[in-house]
Amino acid sequence: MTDMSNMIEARAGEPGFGDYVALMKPRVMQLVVFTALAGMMAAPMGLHPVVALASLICIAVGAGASGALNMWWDADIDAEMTRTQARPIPRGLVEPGEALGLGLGLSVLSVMMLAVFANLLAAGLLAFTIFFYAVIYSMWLKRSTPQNIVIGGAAGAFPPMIAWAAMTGEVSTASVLMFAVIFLWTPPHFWALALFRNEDYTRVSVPMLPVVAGEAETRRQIWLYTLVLVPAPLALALTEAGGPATLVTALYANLLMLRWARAVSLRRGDGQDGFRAEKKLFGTSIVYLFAIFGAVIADAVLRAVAGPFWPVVL
Amino acid sequence: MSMKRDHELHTKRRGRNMGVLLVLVGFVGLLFAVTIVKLGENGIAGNPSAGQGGAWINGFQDLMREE
Repeated sequence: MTDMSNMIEARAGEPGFGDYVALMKPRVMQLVVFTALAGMMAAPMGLHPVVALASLICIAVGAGASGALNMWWDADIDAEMTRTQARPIPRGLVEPGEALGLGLGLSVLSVMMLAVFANLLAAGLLAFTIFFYAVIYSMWLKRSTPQNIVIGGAAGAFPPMIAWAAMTGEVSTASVLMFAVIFLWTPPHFWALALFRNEDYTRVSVPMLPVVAGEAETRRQIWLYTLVLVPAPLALALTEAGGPATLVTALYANLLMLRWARAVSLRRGDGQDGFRAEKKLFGTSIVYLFAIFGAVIADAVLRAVAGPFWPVVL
Repeated sequence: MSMKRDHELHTKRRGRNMGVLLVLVGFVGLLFAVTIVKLGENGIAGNPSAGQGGAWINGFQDLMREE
């Protein structure tokens, strides 16, 4: 082989465009876009659709930027965990510095653009969300406290509130309740995952609740947080963002969450059944969130077609 | 060995360059669309004819004529 071909072979791990997209956690971005879209559609007044779309893109890019910053910071433990080994930095496709540059650049750009497209409140909330996820959660809480998921969950809960602020220029009861739904949903969702991925977190010494407090306490906490979660979407249904679809969906989705959270809390065993209840709860929780925010969108469409007909209690 | 045959490296670079191009074109298009909308909606602060539905340029010209 010639020197030139040696050089080319050595750089065969050259990143493609998709590797940079992967840095932005596209699956998390899907959830962010969906919940932010719900927040936008549910808002009682709004921006021109083009400006609203531009604002939605800013929120998605901001979320992606915080994902890139998280991957830069967590590159060492990502390489050790089965779930995250295939990420671009552990695979050697993207340099950590590139992830940092991409994260910082897109953070600044998305916040500035949102300030131009929408307003300073929405931009400020987006900036705080990025800071919260990258610094408060990733750099500080994740490796220092078993409550990491509880407090860190706030970062994922902000998008519908940012979207609402972009449309209305304010924070309201409805947007706070949309925040509360995601915030309270996060602990049972992640702890269900942590129960059947326990060895991953143990290996890298991330103090997830099952690692620090044990499985029994985690199961108890999942049940308690699910009980606290239940009123949030019901209350949301009684705000200006809610409606009959949200109320019916919240009732049914709550029943499903309670059923599987109870099953997880009562289960004792060493996972010989393949953690069926935990996996069911994890899957149900994903459907739960999409169902609640899907219902919020459905109610927004209903209001657009039929006019205001739903009593706003909160 | 044919000099025209692309190595995987070149394929990846071409894909990356095309991706960046599309993102930049999309960004410029988005800025253009938002600018048009904001001008049409009298979204510019201080537009003297905003209340009458005029665009900034007309408002500015009207203001000059009044003086």
